Amino acid sequence: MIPLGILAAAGGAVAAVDSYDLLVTEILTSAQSSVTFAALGDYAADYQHLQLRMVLRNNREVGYNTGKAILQLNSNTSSSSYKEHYLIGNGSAVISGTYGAVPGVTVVEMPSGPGSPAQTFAAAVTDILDAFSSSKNTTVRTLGGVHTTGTALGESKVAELVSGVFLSTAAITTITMIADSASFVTGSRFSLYGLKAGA
Amino acid sequence: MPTPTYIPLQTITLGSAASSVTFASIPQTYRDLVLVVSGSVSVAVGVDSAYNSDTGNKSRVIMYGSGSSAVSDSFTDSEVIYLGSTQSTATIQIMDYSATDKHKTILARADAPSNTTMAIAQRWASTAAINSVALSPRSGRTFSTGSRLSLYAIEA
Repeated sequence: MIPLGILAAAGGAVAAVDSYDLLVTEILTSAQSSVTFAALGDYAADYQHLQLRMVLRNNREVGYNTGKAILQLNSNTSSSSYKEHYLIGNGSAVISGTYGAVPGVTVVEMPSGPGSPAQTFAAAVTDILDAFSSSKNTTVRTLGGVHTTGTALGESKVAELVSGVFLSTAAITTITMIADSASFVTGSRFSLYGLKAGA
Repeated sequence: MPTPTYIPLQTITLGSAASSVTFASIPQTYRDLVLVVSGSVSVAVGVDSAYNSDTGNKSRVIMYGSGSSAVSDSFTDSEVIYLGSTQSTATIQIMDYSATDKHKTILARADAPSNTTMAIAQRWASTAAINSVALSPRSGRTFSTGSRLSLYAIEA
């Protein structure tokens, strides 16, 4: 999501450089199974959309070349509260589908296991649109991916687009990122930004 | 306390065709870079990337629609986006560019409406912080006059 005012500023027109704000960042200093941004209602008056920018890896061990990073809203753990579809390029084919019964929206596949270089991380940019509306279900979309050149199951090749919806009209107050069946490793980064709306 | 970010660092608008464009002396005080390309190339072609003047050590996976099918492939090369000879756009997200504990993961979306629409995940297998980014159309092609490349920085 590129704030249009900033694009205009680059062309010498309207300068709106404060339309996109960093709200909070967490860079892990030890492995954690989840990361939570709470009390987001404090931002409701100032922002319309949210964006998560993430660089992440999990520590799921032998037998898996990737692990899911799951976005959960308002601490709602019911899989029936979410719908999603993905479009994934895996290096040999493009596939589309859903992740099934997941307690949130799976936003990106992370590298894992000892077969991939420890310095390789997935990245994802996730937009959470109209996050503070109390009349709409909240939609999210993600561009994500990773390319590792590990051995066997250590190799992860994913470029993906994901759309998801939280089937609730409640304004978003809490965002939780969950490492499915594992933990996010040290150095994983989660940054939350707010986008203002025009008058 | 919210911090305004998404800082425009530099915009380059080409006054004549160019075989490469370089953003140098990138400050290390931010966390992500976003490079927005709006323009075209002399003949539709992939565009190579170089970080810190390193033209190697990269690999990528791509997913694109050709107009008749959806395709995915992976490569060990430096290509990061694909542009057409008609107006095209691309957005390149260079994540954690200033970090020194990770290889760099680059996400891109490239739209050459006369040719393809594409998503790319690239890895630069280096833990060095990025201080320069260069883009060069492959096979001796050039960016067309009027092409505009804008670099933004985001704090974290």
